[in-house]
Amino acid sequence: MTDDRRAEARRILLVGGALGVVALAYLLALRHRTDYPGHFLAGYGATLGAVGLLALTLPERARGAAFGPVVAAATLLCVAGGAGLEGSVFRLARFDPVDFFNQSLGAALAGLSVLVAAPTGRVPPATAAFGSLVSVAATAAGFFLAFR
Amino acid sequence: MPSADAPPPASPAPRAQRTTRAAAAGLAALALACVLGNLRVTSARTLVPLALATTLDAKERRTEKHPGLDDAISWTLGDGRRIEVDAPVDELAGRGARLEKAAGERTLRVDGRAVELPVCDDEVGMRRIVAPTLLAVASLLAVAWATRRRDRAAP
Repeated sequence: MTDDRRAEARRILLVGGALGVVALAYLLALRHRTDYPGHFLAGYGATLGAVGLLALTLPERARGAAFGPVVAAATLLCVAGGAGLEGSVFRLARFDPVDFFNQSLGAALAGLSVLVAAPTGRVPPATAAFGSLVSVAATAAGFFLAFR
Repeated sequence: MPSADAPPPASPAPRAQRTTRAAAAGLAALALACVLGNLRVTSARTLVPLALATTLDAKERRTEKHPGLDDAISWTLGDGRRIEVDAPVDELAGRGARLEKAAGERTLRVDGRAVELPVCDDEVGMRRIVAPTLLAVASLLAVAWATRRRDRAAP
């Protein structure tokens, strides 16, 4: 295995481990309220998908020095989009700030994960495949936990 | 043509390092703000941090996705405030009751009768996830911070 592949594998493990630790903590500490881990996972999965897709399609000039700000701005857009959805489509009794904080925490972790997994702005194929799987799985698990 | 005394142009690597670090620090700060927000809101719903010297004018319970589990309960107080409370707290007082407590106290006086504020699972759970969340955020931030250093050192 080349050094590059080993470094990529380490980054994937770290990102997966960080998500696993927080998700497990939510599931254990807040198991009486599955909608809380649900919002966290949905926020993580949806943001990882959106920001990851953006990273894959960025023009060359948006990589390098511009990549960090682009990821941060895209993450903030996802947070704003999440607030909009929580206040409209998913607003049942009222806008719950705890739901919003949980999904935004997931979004922030996803943005950080993209910076860790693709530090130069280029997304290697194995990272893209892992990110796609995690994005779909986290979003699906999030919706299941929030609405079951 | 640049003069011999002019400083050399900044290489792109340090600039990329700075912007990545700033973005990572900003996202970590956002995560921290969300953790603090969760603690603040769930703590307020236990009534512990609030000072009260007023009456409970009205109560409202709205059902959410799981009726009985995640209901949104709000109290309208005589001093004009509208606060959200956890379900175990909602059972302590009825409409028209006189409520008194100091901020930080775990005892609520309802019509002069002292009652202990119950432990609320949401607030306890939110406190329990703080350490693992900070650990995850700190690990990601540290790697995002260090990765560029290695890139910069590379030829």
